[in-house]
Amino acid sequence: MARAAMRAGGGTAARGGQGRGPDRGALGRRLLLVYAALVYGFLFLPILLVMVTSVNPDGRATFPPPGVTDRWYRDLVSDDQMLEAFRTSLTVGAIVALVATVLGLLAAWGLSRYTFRFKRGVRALFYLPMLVPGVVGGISLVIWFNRIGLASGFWTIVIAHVVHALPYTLTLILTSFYGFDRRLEEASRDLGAGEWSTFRRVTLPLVMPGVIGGALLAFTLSFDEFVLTFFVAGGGVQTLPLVIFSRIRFELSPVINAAAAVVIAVSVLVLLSGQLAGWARARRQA
Amino acid sequence: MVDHDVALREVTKRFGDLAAVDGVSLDIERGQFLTLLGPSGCGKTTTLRMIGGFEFPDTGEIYLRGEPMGRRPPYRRDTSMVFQNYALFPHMDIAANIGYGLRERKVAKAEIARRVEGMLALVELPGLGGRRPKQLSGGQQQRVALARSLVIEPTVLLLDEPLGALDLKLRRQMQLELKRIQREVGITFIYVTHDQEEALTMSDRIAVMNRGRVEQYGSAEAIFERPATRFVADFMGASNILDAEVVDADAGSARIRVAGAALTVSEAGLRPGDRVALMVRPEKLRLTAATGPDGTMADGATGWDATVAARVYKGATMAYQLGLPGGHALVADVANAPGGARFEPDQPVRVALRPNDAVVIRG
Repeated sequence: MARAAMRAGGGTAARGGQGRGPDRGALGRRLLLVYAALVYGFLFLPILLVMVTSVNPDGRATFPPPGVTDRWYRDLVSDDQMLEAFRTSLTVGAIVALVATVLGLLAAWGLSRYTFRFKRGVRALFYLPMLVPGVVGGISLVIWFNRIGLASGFWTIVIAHVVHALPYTLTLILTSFYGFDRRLEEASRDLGAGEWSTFRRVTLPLVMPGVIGGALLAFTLSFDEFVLTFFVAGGGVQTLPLVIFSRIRFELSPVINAAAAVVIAVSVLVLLSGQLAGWARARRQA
Repeated sequence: MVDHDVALREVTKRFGDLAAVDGVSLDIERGQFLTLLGPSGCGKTTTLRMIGGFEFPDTGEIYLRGEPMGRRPPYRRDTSMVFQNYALFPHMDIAANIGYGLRERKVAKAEIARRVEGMLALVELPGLGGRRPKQLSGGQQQRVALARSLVIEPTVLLLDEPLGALDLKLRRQMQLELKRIQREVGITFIYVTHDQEEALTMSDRIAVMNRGRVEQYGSAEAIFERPATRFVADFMGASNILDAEVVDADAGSARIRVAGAALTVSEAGLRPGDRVALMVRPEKLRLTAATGPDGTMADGATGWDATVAARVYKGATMAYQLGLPGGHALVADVANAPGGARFEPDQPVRVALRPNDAVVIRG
């Protein structure tokens, strides 16, 4: 959810940012404003509604809400299945963040430093998972895991999520590498630092914003991934989105609103903390 | 035997089809300030980067204190480089920047702090160790880059157009500063620039490069006064270069034909028929209204009949633009002495130069 909002939000911002010249007049600007408001409303009102409903004593989307209650949240924390799924999602998210970041770092290093045959093709391959529809990707992974004899469960979820997150993580890390002044590494080597020391003392600290951003993004992508997980999870292990989905198939329990609100909150908090870390860093260096 | 810090032997480096450095050989004496001078693309920066170990020669060898460097990486060479845009580490403060190389050499913390302080004093930036690079001006960053390289006590300091980003006044100041620091630390400096004035100001020796080759290698004075090739003369800012042909030569002098006139020059080793070029500094030309019977003056000066095309008052001197027979042109700078002769545009004049003031260029 957070991801969809982010992508769409980024898109509108980019479109709104393309200055058409100041002579377009006030009417044009006002229309643009209305258009932007509609887009944002369309994107965020449903999310807002879930959050409001999660504290509604009725447990339904009545408006105005008759009051405020924490009952659904109390139900949520005593719901063992939900809690187990929440823990699974956090664990999977953390592992995915780590693996996708290490892979992304290595790939970014290679793609930004070396020229080789079929480099464009190789880079395109890294981005391919973004373009493959979730259902197709899910089925492919199931067939593949089956073929290599890997039983469905925790690790198949992790692998699927890494495949899903890597293109985004790589993009962020690669941006850091492209903006990097290679002469800093030359200076480091010149002053007596070997390759590893240069990487640790100069390269890594300077690409860190991209690395942290990539890791946080990988975590949130994993945390609310549904389609691939649905295919590769098998019966035993369930992530939070899977549990939420299975619940609304049978009953529209108000607990689900609370769970959804938690998912949103975690995603937003993680991305926000990344932003804040970035700002703090920029201020320290200014 | 002369003590050579750096020696290049037939060093060639190709990028694709282009020979960026083409058979360069140089011997650089210990403690000298050497400048690699030339236009952009002449191979001077590539030469410097090969000495530093950032690029490796395709053929030829580079020796530091007699030891062949081969493909040894920068961190295993006793050289240190001051980069064009300083390349200070933005995530470290000034003290950490300067101490970087020492930390890498596992020097004790207290010792690092002491030597960093010493360096900050040498480059006249005391008390700035806690600042970030971005908080310093361009000139200050330049000094930090210098300190960072000098603190590890390299055999050779390499400087890649280090003053390129500074304004003129600061450049002049830093040129003298660099020269002072070089005398103080007494190590070999190899300096890359495209600015001939900068090269003349600072260098003990200059290697003028063009198209990957060394056109001339010598003292600043020799390069300026006696350019070996037309390219060097042109690059050192000579305004008067004319094609010439040797008509007659004996042991110590020759007659050459230049722009329709025969001139006597003090140059040995020429043969009749040689195609050469004549270079003459504007301030060495003399103008008179009178003409002798054969154009030869009392002190043996020879010259041309010319016409004043234009004149520009330049304070201490008057610059005359002169038209010569055959469409050639010369510039003469004449001192504005009180009561000295002035010439008007379109006035015919006699341009003369002494045999010793003419520089014959063979290349």
